[in-house]
Amino acid sequence: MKVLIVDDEPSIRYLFSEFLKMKGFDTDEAENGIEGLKKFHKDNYDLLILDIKMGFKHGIEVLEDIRRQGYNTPVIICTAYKHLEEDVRITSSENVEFLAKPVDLQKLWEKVERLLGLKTNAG
Amino acid sequence: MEKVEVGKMKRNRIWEMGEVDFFVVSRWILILLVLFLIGYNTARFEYMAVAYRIAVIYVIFNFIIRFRIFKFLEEEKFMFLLFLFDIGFVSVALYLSRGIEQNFFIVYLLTIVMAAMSSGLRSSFPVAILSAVLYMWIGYTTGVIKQFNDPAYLLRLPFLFLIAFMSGAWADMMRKKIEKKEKMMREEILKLKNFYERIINSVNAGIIVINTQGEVMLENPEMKRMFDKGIIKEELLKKIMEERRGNVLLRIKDRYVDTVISSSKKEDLIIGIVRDVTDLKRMEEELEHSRRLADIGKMASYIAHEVRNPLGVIRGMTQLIKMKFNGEVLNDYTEKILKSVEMIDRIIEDTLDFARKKPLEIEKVNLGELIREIVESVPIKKKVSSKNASVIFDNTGGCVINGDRMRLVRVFENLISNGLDAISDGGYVKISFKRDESNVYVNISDNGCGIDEKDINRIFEPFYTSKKHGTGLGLSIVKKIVENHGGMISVRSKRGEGTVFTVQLPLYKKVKDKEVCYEGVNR
Repeated sequence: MKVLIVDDEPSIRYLFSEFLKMKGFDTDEAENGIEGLKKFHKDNYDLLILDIKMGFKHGIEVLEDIRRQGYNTPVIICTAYKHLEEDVRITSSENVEFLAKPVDLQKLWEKVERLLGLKTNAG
Repeated sequence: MEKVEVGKMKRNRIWEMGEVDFFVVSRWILILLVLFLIGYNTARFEYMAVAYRIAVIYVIFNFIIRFRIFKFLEEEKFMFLLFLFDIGFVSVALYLSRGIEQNFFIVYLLTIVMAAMSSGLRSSFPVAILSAVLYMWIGYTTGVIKQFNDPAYLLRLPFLFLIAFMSGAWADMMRKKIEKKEKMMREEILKLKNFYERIINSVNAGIIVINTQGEVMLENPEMKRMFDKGIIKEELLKKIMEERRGNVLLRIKDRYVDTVISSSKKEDLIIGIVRDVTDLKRMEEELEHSRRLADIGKMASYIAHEVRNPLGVIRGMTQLIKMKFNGEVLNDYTEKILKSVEMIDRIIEDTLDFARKKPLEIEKVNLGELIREIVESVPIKKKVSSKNASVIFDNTGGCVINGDRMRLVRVFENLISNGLDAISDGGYVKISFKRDESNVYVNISDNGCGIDEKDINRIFEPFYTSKKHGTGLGLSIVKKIVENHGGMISVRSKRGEGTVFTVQLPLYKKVKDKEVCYEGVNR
């Protein structure tokens, strides 16, 4: 399974990448929304992790773009503003999970499992 | 309005408006004429000494009138006596000088004119009659008049009455004119007075006029209202006297007054125009407070984003280390790092919560159930077991209210958690309800260390904390949430015995809109 991590913070990208690799995923990284969209169209990803606040194109715009183009790829939205969760849910409630910063890898893993149905498969 | 009496001009004295000078001058002439009358008849020279004595008394008397030494002489009733005296004086002079044989009866005319000038016809006629009688009597007793119907004398009498009529009528006419003018002036003054009073009374500012001794000469109704509202009069007067001039903002006890102070041209009056700007000042303070909160909000928002990223990396990396490497010491270290990260995150969240202006999302909330859920939640249970403490929850009186569930959780979680922090091992936190017609009162008490008296008034202030690791925002957020729900929070505490927090919240009411009016801060 392949995950695209879109975040302008290299250390976050590195952290997610290391963690997901440890969990057996392939990962790819992009440092902003535009680069993320380009990569998304070039390759097939099972999951997208998007930061909300980024230069050029922020996470919500990327999510709206890919939904408009008909992709229903699972997305995890990361934000430092916890109260934005609702707004994100209103924008696109399907296949989207919210992850509050500071990130907690346990919570990230719970959301990955839920979105990709890993828990059900395992169980 | 006080102490201002305009338009009350009483004319009960005869010597007003320069009349005194007229009388004095007339009487000087009278004296000169009489002296001349006596002196002219040298045959009666022996009487000159008497005449001069009378003249001296007359002069002294005139001085008394001129300089108004005895006020009673100015009364109208005394005036008639004065004219009698004058007629007597003239008659005696005529008698002594035998002037009756000459045309000196003209001197009577002067007294008649004086009487007319003083009181019009009602004085001039009696004086004329008296003069005529005396004239005829002197003439008869001195033998000058042989018969009362002597045409030479009878012709003179109508002349006395003619002068009495003409001068009296003229004086009456003039008096009426003057009185009419006076009445008009009085009305005009009264109108002006009413006009200025209306302005002064309707000005939306207090007006106070004081003299140099600090005595109040005038204060308008608005000023009185201000005094009734709690502005201390003595303090205001003292400060106005001190300042004397200029535009100053005075603080009197807990109130602010903007005062424009000026002095009259003669510097004998100090005028203060006072506006109670307490509400305005408080609004400014609240605005400043809101600005500060907005700044905190911006700062918190910045911190939230900028700090949470590296904080996430610290937490994530620590979790990775924990996953990859095992060991008791390592686990202990990583656990401590993770706890610190959580604490930093809580500080950020508290600050954001405090500054956030998101409206409440009101729904029907069962307060009893909500508190039960909190009591049974993992973090509270963890705290309870770590202290071997107990939470006594009495759900009697628990009820339904309109509220924002998440924020109410925040309130009671915080208060219960604080109670648990305050108690020693084996202590308790007790939660109970009370109700009245419109409110529910939730009491959260503990038998912990209590709060110092010096701290108790400040515990709801933002950033004020007595805890070692507290942000100082918890209780201020709690207060803000409770007040936004239309409720109140109070605290009672005794050092060493424990603390009771009481949260008062309005009971459930059916409302048309989903969001009821709890948005914003109620102060």
